[in-house]
Amino acid sequence: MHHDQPTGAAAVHFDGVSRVFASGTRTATALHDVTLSIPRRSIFGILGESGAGKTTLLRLMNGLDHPTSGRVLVDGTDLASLGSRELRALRHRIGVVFQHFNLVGNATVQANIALPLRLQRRRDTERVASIAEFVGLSGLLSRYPAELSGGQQQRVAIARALVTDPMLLLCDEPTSALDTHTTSEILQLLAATREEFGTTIALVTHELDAVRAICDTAAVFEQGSLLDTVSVPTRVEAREPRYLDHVRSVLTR
Amino acid sequence: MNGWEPIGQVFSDHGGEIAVALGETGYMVLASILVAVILGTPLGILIYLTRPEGVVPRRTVWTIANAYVTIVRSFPFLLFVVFMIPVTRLVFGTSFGTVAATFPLGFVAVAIYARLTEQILLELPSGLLQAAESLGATLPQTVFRFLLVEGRSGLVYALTSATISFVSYSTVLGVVGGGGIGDFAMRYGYHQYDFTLMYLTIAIIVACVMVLQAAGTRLSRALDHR
Repeated sequence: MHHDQPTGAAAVHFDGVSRVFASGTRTATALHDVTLSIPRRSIFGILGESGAGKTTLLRLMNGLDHPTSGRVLVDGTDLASLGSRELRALRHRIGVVFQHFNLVGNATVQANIALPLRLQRRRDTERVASIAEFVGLSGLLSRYPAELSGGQQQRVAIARALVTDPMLLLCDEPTSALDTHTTSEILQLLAATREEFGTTIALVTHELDAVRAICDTAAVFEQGSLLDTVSVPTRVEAREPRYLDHVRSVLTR
Repeated sequence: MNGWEPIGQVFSDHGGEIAVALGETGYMVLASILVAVILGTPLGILIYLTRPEGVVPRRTVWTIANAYVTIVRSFPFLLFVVFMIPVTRLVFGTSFGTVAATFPLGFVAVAIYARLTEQILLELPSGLLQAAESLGATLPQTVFRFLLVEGRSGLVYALTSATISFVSYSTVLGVVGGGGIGDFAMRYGYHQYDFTLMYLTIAIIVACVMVLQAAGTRLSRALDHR
């Protein structure tokens, strides 16, 4: 299940990407000449205020939007070279988690998680059960989303995104609708996802704390331009509690 | 035979006729429900998908489908029935009788239910389509695994109110020989001043509509888990 085979190409590479929206005579530049790479197995923060172009950036990564100029490469493939069928196939390898979960309200937790498999005419109850266990929803498979808390609904959404074992997970403000405690639980779940499956995660957020908690790197955007890419210092105590316990136990022996 | 008479008397005199009239109304309403579901639902989905801001914008298709719905719905129903007489003759060889009279109602039923379907889909949260497209759903999958799953309770509820409109429309068909309970009320209540019989007929219609509404509301609730 690990995605650590070819390390040559970045998971995602933006090469001089601009996206200009035109309506009538007016134009709005959502992204301006962005070049960046998201390394494999990284948790990559995309920071910025609203209107900075973060969501456009995500939509370019799974081919829901196309650059006005420049190239977007996912797993080494230029998305412009893909037809609509190939783009759909690509989307089956890219999970997406939304701010408002976007679950199917009339489908059970089980059916929601299984949905991406069903769209590929697959059925795999074991896979659904194991991914539900991973996100901590085992006992809730027959419930409906409306019966769950916001945090639980986001866990369903994460399970749905992970069930096809995607190489890339796109998260669009995944914790902005949640309270502080639930936010840190969801962030830990994302960190655990990378550890367990080797998934590359792009995390769009306006919350600095979220980036500090789990990201390795953050690209900071303002009004469509990439200001800088900042690496986030590894915080041993936050990232590796077991390691710290180990160190303590060795030193105090 | 003027004014009022005992209800028991009315039943023994006209029970058979009432049953026949109810059967004719039932036929007209059931036939309209069927075409509304079979043709109106897809038409409503088509309008929703092909509208300018839709999932697959197609200006020509949308304009034609939308125009059909708007034009048919803007006709006063009685005028539409008369307007359709030549077409009905062409298809059935006659414009008379329950089957032929139902023909124009079918067109209206499709238009009404297509518009209701479109409205229900428009009210679904936009996140549903975002999820569908990002999960790589094909167009049929978007319709059957997302839109119809989330819209089903609204569709049932809308079909209930559409059905009740069809009952009302079906009475107009009595004018062109469609028979049914409305025609029956006209003949005895309007032309012969048999009020007992007319009110009895109205009471039966009201009872039918109440049962329909209750059943529709229940089914709609049972389908909704949101």
